[in-house]
Amino acid sequence: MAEHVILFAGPMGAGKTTAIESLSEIETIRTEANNTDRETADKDTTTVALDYGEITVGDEDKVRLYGVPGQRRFNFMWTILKERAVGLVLLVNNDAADPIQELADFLDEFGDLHEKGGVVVCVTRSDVATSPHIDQYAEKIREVLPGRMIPVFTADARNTDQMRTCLMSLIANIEMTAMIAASQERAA
Amino acid sequence: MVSMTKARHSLGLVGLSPIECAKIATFIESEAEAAGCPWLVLHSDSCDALIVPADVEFSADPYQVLIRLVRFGGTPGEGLSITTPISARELMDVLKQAQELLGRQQKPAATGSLRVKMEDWGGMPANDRHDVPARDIPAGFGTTARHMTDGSAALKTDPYAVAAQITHPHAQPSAMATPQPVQQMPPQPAAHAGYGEAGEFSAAWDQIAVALYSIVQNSAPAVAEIRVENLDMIRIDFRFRAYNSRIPLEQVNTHGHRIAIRSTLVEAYRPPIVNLPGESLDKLFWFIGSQAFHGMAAPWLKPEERYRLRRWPNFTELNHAVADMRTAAAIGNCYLNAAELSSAAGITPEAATRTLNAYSLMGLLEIQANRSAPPVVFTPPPPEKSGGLFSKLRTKLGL
Amino acid sequence: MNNAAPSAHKDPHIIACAGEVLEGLNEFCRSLRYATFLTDDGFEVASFGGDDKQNRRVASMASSMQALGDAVAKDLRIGAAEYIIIAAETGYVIQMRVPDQLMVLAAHFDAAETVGKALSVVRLAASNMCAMIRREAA
Ligand SMILES: Nc1nc2c(ncn2[C@@H]2O[C@H](COP(=O)(O)OP(=O)(O)OP(=O)(O)O)[C@@H](O)[C@H]2O)c(=O)[nH]1
Ligand SMILES: [Mg+2]
Repeated sequence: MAEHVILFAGPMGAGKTTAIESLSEIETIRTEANNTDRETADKDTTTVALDYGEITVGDEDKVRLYGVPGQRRFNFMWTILKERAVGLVLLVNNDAADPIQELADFLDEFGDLHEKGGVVVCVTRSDVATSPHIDQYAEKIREVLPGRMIPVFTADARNTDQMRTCLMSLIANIEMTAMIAASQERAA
Repeated sequence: MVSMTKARHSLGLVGLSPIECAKIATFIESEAEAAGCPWLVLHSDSCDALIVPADVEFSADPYQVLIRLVRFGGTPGEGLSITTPISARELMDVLKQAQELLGRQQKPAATGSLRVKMEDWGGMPANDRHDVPARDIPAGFGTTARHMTDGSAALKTDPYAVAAQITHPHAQPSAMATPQPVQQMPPQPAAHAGYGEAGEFSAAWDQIAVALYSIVQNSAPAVAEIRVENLDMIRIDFRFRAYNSRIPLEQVNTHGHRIAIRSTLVEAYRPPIVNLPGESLDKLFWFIGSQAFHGMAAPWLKPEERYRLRRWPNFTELNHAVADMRTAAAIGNCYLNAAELSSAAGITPEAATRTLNAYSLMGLLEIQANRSAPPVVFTPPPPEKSGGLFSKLRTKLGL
Repeated sequence: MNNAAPSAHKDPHIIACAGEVLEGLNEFCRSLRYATFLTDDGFEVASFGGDDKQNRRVASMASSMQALGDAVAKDLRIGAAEYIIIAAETGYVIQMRVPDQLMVLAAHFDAAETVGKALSVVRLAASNMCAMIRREAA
């Protein structure tokens, strides 16, 4: 059985746990703890180890969805979970104090997953904060990872259809880059 | 009059007062509604014809017809001119003469080509920003617009689909409230297979697409209103890249007879004309761009050029199909023309062209600098056939 | 839990109580290397031994461990996880939730201790902590 591990990363409150909940077809595994850092994200709980969900495709493929904790003090989990991942859904909540900086920080940590497969950026909670605009995210990505084409979407983590669009785009992009690389190899 | 109606020309108003601009635009609009007038009014100095104050030094390009506006007390010089106070009759007469001049100087095939500002690539905002600063970009659509004038049956029967008016920043915002829709002939039966369930767009939407494109290219702060069947349907505020539509886009009558766009430049500080945040302009451009031009290339695209995405389309807000994701992945990762895109993404050439039309209207494309670069050859079959995860997931999720 | 109250790692009374309990734990059990009280979401409340950086890190990791333990117990439907033991070559780590509190005690002992004794002192310390907080609140 082929396994495809997709990682969900991003700052606290971006919607990683929610996104995996929206996508998973099994009951998700969560490691939520009471949140005592209400300044960063005003919500009851926060992930302290990982989220896990999956989508089984036929009897050959399994897409494993892992969410990491958003808070940096759990970055040992980032290292552990990054290991097997072939793709990254980077979620950034538009209502964060400095979402563009968050994007840059997380790309710095996880951007190498682009080389292992692909990355897509999902801007969440853009209904709560209408700026910055998605163009500014694209601009920052060009600056941090020049020459790389990374899809950027606005999405509501609670919306299954939208999260599927993000996931499918990630997979389409991974497959397309692999196909182009294979073509170029053959041509060389 | 008959010969007039077969041609389409753009008229640029340069250096005129807001009142003069408004007057000219109103005359042209009402004339268009009553009898027929093939002029598209734009706030641009690279139109087929220009109206310029007589006391202003101005050198037009050889292809352009210059019309001097002689203000009170002035003496008309050589060439075409009109005098204040401007009268509808005088304006129509001089435009008729301008048309004859244009008809004489142009090659027959290019008669009536629609010119809008295209040369100002440096100051361009998001749209089609090139990765090369200086290039020989033609001033008008020129021959690439040929299908608009001699290839499409639809356009010959409805030659004045649109009256676009762009006035100066000081124009009264209230001008927005009274656009004059332009009478249009009934739509042709669709010459191509319908695209999507909405069926073919009437050719008037081609002109709307051209007008929208030229407004975005102009990069000046502007607002616009699209009227369908005399109803104000879509309000656009380019400053905020947002629009409001009275009804969902999918329900807008896209083969209607009476469609008009009216646009006005506004100062940046003016309040928005849409209820913010409104809807993203990308959504409107995607809707119009992918359905206009009957599946042929938009007049501003060039067959010899290759394009690549500079930003991914925000699919979550677009009415998209799953195939669009793979199309984006293809053109997101290498420079392609329509034919190459079609084979890379496993879609029809027409669908590839429509996608390029939409993306370029949305300002998502950049043009390959190195025209002689070898194309990317996709040897393996598209993942659909090889059973990639994408297509399996697509089946699984019932998309 | 009262959300309006400052969380444990910011409450000076709770921090003081935790420090006191850890002192007692150390006196009771000389094989203790270090120990940390932490909030459920991994903030250090008070520590004994270890440097600041290490304590913070242990707090985060212990919180992840606790949550993973809870997740496994929940998935197997065997009730709530009571304690977690990591036995290594030269020592072990025991962690246990403070009864009725959103707080965990994580303690590291060297190999000289028996697991049984270590477990019982940790349990004692955890319940002392609970009792002290209750007394403070009353
Ligand atoms: N209004 C709004 N709420 C959203 C949107 N996306 C997610 N949310 C909400 O935002 C919150 C996100 O919380 P989580 O899913 O726990 O965030 P997380 O990224 O897992 O956070 P940590 O685990 O703490 O790092 C949830 O309450 C979601 O319901 C959105 O687009 N709009
Ligand atoms: Mg979470």
